[in-house]
Amino acid sequence: MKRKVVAVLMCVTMVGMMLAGCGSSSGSTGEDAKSDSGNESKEEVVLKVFDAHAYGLEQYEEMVQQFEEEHSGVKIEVQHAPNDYDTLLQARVNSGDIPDVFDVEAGTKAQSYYEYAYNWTDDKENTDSFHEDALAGGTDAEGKIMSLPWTYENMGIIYNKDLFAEAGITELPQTMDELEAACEKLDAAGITAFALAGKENWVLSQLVTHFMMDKSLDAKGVVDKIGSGELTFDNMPNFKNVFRFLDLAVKYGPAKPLEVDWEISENMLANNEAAMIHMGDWCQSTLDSFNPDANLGFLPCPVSDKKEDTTLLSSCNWTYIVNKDSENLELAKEYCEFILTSDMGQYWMCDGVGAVPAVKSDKEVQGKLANDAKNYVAEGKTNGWIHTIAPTGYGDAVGPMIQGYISGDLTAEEVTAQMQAFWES
Amino acid sequence: MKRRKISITNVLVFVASVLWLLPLLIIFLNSFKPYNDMMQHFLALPKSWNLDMYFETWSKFNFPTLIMNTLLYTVVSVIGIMILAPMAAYKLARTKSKLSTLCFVVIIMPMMVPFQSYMITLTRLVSKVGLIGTKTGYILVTIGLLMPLAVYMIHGFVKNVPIELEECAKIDGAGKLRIYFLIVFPLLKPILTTVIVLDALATWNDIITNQLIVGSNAAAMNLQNALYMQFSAQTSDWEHALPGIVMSMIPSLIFFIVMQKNIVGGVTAGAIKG
Amino acid sequence: MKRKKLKDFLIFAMFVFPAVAFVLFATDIPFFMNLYYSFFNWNGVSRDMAFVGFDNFIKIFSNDGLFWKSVQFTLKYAVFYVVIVNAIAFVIALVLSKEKKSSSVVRAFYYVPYIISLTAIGLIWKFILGPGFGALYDMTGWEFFDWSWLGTGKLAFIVVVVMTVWQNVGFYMVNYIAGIVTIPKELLEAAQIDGATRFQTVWKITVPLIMPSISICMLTALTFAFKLFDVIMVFTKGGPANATMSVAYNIYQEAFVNGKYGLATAKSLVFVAFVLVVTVIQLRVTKGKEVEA
Repeated sequence: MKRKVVAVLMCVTMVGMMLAGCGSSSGSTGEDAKSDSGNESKEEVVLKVFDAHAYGLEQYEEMVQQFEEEHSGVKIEVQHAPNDYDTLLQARVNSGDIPDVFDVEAGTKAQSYYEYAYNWTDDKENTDSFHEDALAGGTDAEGKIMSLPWTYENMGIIYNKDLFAEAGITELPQTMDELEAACEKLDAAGITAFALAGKENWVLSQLVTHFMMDKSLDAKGVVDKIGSGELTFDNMPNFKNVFRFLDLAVKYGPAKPLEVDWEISENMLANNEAAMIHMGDWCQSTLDSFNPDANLGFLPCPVSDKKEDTTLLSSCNWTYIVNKDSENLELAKEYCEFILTSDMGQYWMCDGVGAVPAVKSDKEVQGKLANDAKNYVAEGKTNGWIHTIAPTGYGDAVGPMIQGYISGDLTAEEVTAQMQAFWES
Repeated sequence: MKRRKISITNVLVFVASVLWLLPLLIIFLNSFKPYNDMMQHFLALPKSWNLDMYFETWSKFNFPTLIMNTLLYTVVSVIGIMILAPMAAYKLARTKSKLSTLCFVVIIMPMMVPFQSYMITLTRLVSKVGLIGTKTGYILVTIGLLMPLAVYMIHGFVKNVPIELEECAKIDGAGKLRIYFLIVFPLLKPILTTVIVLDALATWNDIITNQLIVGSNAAAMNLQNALYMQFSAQTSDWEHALPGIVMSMIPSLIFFIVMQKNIVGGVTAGAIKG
Repeated sequence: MKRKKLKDFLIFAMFVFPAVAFVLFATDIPFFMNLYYSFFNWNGVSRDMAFVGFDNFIKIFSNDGLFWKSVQFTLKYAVFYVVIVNAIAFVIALVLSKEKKSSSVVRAFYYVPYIISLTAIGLIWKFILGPGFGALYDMTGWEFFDWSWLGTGKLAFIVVVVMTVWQNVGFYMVNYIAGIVTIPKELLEAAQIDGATRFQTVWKITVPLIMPSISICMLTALTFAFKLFDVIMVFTKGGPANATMSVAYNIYQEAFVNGKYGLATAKSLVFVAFVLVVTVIQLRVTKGKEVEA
């Protein structure tokens, strides 16, 4: 008798578990049916969008709503994943759950996804609406346009205008000597000149790329020449100056440079505690949330004793890919065009994100830094981004080298040699 | 002499516990501060105690759904482990055979393997069986991931159940199933409670497995995953994240306090020896 | 006889196979799927991959200094972590294993860090080590607070140990309490009546009788140390200058940042083989010392 009771109990628990499992699975199969594909019995079509955006989300919502209104029966399912984006995207692609529309950083990362991407080269009507140089970032090795550009992102030195004024600096430094003089003036006024985010590999490795270029060679040119052996880190004209720059940043910076992360770095700048950081205009909204009244601007990074060499690094970093095997290809293409070129899309990019769109547009851009950068772009004082077309793992390989130099464990020669070794491997 | 020795250690332990609690308080305080205020004055009391961000986080993140999801995952996974792990642990501890050792190794082996090394192949496997993006898939994977440690812990504790008890019951004519359910299982209570607490908290706080398995299915996300998405390498939404984190910790704390009575009180040595 | 054997086998299967099935599904199979990938060069995304035979393995043993640096770090960390966290947890458990209300509350305190989500923990420690230590230095003038804790390799190591001990001690404490509670009170009282000092009671009675707890705690601490990833990922990211790079983080970086999935899986195979050997040794040692009540 008791054995029967036990057996029944066990069965009941097992069944209960299965029901719980089934309950959730039927609930989720309902959701799966929605999110799996476009063709099912229901009229509704779902487009899956995956991106790494963390800003302008409200405006993005408005944009999505308008698209859905204009296309009845269509639901846009967007997932923003600013954190661990690469890992998650990889996992999704591997699990066969490739999003219909997703964005990726241009350069080596985007290249690895191009085998899944729709080819836009023949859609002249669409591609003509973008700036030419912007499109260049989305081409594969054969020159086919495999992804569409989003916005221009600029990086360089961001400086605090109020602090510069306080120190009596009237003209922006354009050579290494002028930079050193500016540091001395700031120091004399009791101001911390630099708040370089020494803890972050990516900040350090981006900083270094300034010194790999001069005005004669742009990013791609440099990468090609290193590849062919024509250019080595030893014979690069401006590379040695990166160490001078780092020395200045350490001498005129916070006491523990390797403990400053991006948050502290931006916070110090916005709160008038430091005069210069190396960062990009993507941090506009963070800076605004720290101190909306901060008076900040871009300073093209001096890399030599020639004024022409100072540059801001500008690139259409994020680029959108449409899954060529999407079940709703036409719709996905339409959505992609919509967010990148339409009025609503421009509203999202200019107002929400505060960046300059890659599409030809007259809209006013909200981001202060982006506007500041526009002037430099117009003057031609920009170069491209190297770190996204460098060999994979560039950031995490170079960052520690620079940290080693800052802490004194590595000499300049050793760092130079290691950089060469990395690039060749 | 003896009394004094105990006291010093006692005092140390009690005083040190504040160091463990302090960070919780600090997080709590900072959940009321705006971003810049938190960065500039981390250790100070908040300027105002308004609960706006708490309410906003609750509704913006759709806390009710997230809590329901996380609760579902936690409850079902823990029940699953509680049914399957003790059974396996008990049988493996009492059976000495090659098959038994093999099964034990198969179950325990994952304990040494870093998750990062197989997370991609896991997602491929889960998608091959069509469970990617589903709640069921996530629950099954979670049970599988919690199983090794649970079995190992219970396995070690089975030794505390004197085999004489089982032999007596056998002589009395009880079948193997009955012996297990009515005699062994109740005696494993302290370790089972520990395992329940451990697994419930692990599932409640899980981020990465949820991210991988649930993927794009936002309706199946759990609490910590949703909160974690608010960060990136270059942006931090602490104003929403901190209240969210505080709110997500309250159930865990309550749960632990309630459960720990079962670990210490309730089971006394007499029950085993008697 | 055959019938009984069959019946025994069926009962064994019913008890054990479900658990085995779950583990196979969630870990064993995916892990061995890696065996396949380790012979290829794969970037983790593409549909194509290039077969390279044993190249990846050769590379690990000939040209991957960073991997071995991370192995060294992980091993060193494991030794410190396992010893420290268990010692502290054991002492705390001894003091708090009574049923008093105050013990109950303090136990909850120790468990709190275990419950806090890791992202919050990263934030807390960032501020403790930065502004917190800064303020303490201003107050006391002790050099200790002025050192660059996160900026120097050796100090960062200590930070990682302290952080993880602080975070996990509650878990081991609970395990030890579960063990201590099963010791018959009569034994302890008898010992005290016989004149044993507190230390002797602990060493000669408590410790041997809770060997299962010790065994569990040692193994879980060891496996945690070997798999150390979350804290590195959230807090140090392997820095400064790769001083705190753990093996799991190195594998992760190789797979997801460097795009060399084949190499990463090869590394994880090498590492797991190594860990298995160490764990088997540890198990033999502690199991041999277990005493049945």
